[in-house]
Amino acid sequence: MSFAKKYLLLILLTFILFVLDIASGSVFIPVNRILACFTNHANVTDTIIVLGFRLPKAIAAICAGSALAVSGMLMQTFFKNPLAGPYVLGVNSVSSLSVALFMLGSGGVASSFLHTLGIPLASSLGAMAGLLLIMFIAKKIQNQTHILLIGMMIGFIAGAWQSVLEYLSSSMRLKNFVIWNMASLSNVTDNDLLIFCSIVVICFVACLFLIKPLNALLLGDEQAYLLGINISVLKNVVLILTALLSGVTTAYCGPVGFVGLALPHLVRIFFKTTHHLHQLLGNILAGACFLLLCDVLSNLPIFDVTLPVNVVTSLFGAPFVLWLILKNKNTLA
Amino acid sequence: MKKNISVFSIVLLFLISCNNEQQKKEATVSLTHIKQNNYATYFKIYKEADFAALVTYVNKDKTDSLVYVLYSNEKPKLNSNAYYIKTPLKSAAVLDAFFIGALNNLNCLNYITAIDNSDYVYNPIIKKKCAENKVQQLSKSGVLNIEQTLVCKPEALFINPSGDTKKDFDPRLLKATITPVVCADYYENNPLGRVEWVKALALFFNVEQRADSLFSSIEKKYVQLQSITDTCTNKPTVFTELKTGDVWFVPGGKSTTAQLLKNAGADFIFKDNDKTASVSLNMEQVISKATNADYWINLHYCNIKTDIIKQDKRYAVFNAYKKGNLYNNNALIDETGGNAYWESGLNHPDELLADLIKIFHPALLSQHTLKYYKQLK
Repeated sequence: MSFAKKYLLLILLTFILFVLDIASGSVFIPVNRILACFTNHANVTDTIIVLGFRLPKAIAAICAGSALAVSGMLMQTFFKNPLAGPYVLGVNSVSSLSVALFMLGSGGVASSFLHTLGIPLASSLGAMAGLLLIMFIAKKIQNQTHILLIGMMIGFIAGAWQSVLEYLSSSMRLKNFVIWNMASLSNVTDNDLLIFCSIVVICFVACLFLIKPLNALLLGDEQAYLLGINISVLKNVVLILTALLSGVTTAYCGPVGFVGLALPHLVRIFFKTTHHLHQLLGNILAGACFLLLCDVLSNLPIFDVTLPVNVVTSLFGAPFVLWLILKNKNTLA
Repeated sequence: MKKNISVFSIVLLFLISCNNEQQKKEATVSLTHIKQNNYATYFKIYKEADFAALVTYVNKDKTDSLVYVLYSNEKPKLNSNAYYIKTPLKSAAVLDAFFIGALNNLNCLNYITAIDNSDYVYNPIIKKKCAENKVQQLSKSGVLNIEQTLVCKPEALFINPSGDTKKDFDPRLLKATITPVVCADYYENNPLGRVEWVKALALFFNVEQRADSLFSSIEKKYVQLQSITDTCTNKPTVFTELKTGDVWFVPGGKSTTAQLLKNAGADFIFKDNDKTASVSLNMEQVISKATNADYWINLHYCNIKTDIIKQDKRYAVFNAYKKGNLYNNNALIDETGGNAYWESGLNHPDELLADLIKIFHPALLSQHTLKYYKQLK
């Protein structure tokens, strides 16, 4: 199958899942009534559910899925480690801790504007801090398995401090934080989407300028340097983009696991290339497809209630990671 | 209505739980005088000449129960696995706000020596005692601190069932003669049934008469108020709560909240189910049914109208929000989050009912001033 056909297939799949995500939900709305919502001929309740609830949720799924997949791809190239990802390396956990510090410790900071901006900012700064820490350790330790283990330890430490903060906080603040920490696509409103989509799109455009340097980085730092790549500038840009992508997603949707780890591998297998142009575009489309699919599954009537999207991504992601480890047990050892 | 019926002779089988397994045998104890409850279904009281027995059901299906034998003079020789407690208690730990309200109504607040967490307590006397370290806090982190409990050494520990009786009866507590008293008051689906638990609690402090007259007075007022709305033909529609994460927990159709709303002459949108516990819905399901509802009550921690849309601006689509018909049960709340609704409120369903009638049918109780509820503006 040619690249063009593969892209076409992914675009088609994204479109179908997008429509399916809008059409499905716990309340049954026939297709004609859903279409009527877009032509101002629907009843108020249908319009609220479709345009105010399902549409922002589906767009959030596209943004979050593609952002996390691209973030995972950047980390795997950056750390030259197939198991690198924001969740595994503890970046999500440090990001959550940072939000916990903001939400549970901000006291009287109740200004709506500051609160809206504060959480994405705290989350991105936390993600950046987590990445800097991992980068610093990666300089000292070359062993990939050790870096992964250290990333997991950082995740545990951040999780433990988060628990301490939760214990010490008041019930009201704790409730808000627990809700955020549950990871949900449905909490994203159209106002949030404007900021969320803007940041994600800007990061993707920036990534397009990094295709050549990232391809060079696959050859190793020395080879990339000989090809005229400024390694330190590249690493800093990749760091900022990764932190922004995973940070802003964590801020609006909560900590969503496994997308960043599993999707880049699926894309590599599907496109059968490590070229970063195909990797980037493939991860954008595949990430969107994956999270849309997870959202559709989380709303299946058999579950009676809406499952947290984090649970569904883990149900799919965890078996994949197990398979990956078993398949590559010799190379990972 | 108070009934003391001594008609039935009910024989309870108590299994002997001797330390020596080989000596296990069954003993029967005849308890003849049952004190009939008017509404409560999760406890039974048996009054004998020299002791009382309290049977509490600790699970929803009433398949698991505990027996407490309460005596004031000589310990009755029943040779059973009941828990024996000498009354009146001089010290009690209460790990739920409802018990504080009940003991306050019984004038037994002085016997409270420990609570769970003072942050969630509204009663100023208990709060002050906590600050002075005269009342201990045993569950600040949400989990009972066994060491602190052993040091505090209350004679009884009033708790709600956790669902695991073994966990509720920690052997270290029993060894220190601290008896957990498991009260499933929140399983009751009638507000008067829940407040009737005051009769069970009164047994531990020998204030049964006070409990009986208190309950009768509350019941009388409640029934009177209920009769006011009986003839109402206009029943405004109402829904409750906010979503938590993706889940919107609404009270079951047979819950105390649903009962209160019905008695207050309101039409609870989610009444059509036979659940006594909460029902999990999502926002789509609530929007599809409650968009045009007239009233929206029990709005968690919200103090003003804008607090609601700060959580999710889509809450503004509800008609009740647009009309400003928003009422929260946090009119009496202190700076740490202690809410009188969960203490004195649940122990005075008559006052809660009066508040709700005032909200839904203001003309019927024009002189009444809201106590536990406030309108969010």
